[in-house]
Amino acid sequence: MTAAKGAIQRFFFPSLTPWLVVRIGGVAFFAYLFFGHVCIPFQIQGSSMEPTYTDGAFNFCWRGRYLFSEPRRYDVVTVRFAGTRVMLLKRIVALEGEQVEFRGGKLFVNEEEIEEPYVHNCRNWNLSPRYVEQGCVFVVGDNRGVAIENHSLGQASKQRITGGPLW
Amino acid sequence: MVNGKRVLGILLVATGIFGAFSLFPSEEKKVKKQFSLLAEYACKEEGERILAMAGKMRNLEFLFYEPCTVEAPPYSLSGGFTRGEIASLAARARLNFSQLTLEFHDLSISFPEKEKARAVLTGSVKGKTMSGEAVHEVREMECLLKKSQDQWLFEHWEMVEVLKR
Repeated sequence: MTAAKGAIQRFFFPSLTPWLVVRIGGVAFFAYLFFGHVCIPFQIQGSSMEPTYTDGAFNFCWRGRYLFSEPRRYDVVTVRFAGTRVMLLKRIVALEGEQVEFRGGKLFVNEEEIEEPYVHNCRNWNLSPRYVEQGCVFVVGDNRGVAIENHSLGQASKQRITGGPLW
Repeated sequence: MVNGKRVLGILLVATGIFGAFSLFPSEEKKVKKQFSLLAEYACKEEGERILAMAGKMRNLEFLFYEPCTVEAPPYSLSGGFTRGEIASLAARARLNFSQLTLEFHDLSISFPEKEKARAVLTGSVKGKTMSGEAVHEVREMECLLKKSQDQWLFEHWEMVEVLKR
């Protein structure tokens, strides 16, 4: 009992040795690298990706997502602004070279209607046909319950895609 | 006694270094300070009095070089503006809000020329309109500053299009 109590005490109140300081420094440095640059925690602000991702929800931006692959249609991605402190969370609906269009709330890519099972509430969106430029993808939020003028959507350079949500 | 003198010496040196950094900030810190001031003057709290607003706008206009060029197509703003015009635009924009906060993130500063600074940043506006509607807009911006009389002033603002329709 005394030995166990001593072990518990040493675990929660370790002696301040140089080795402990090195270990704490190492953990702090690793945490800074990992959560600052590899797996960035974020909180969602806004409802443009509802119902898939709700306002106030918590997640991580996994930056290694596209290390060995390219973004694909239906991928939910994070798009950076000037940095990674504030990012957009959107879904890819069209790839480079494809023609994208909204007609009566339905998505058309290369004049073929695309099924969007993640969209639950859809207003009568209309967006004239346009081609996605080279090096870009077309992103839209899942929440189509607002007027298209009030929704941030459009072509984003693939270089701005920092990764995707972890779940 | 020797240890005490050593500790005192180290403390004096540390205080001197800290003081030097505080009293003689780098140019980058001076530029960042201007953005902090702009955010402070642009912010609006609920129940803000007219005198307070006027004071903020007066301070805000002196952050800008004359003329200051603005390229903001989403807001139909383009061209050169005097300080007074900038303050007037800001005041009119603030009238639509009962509460407003302006924040700058990911501020990256470079100095392409002597007495010229270039900043790329993300600007975030959060607030509530007079009708109670919540507003949250985020934009990437590129800004040029010019040093005039030892002060960095905003010379050019441009909104960068992240999502192109």
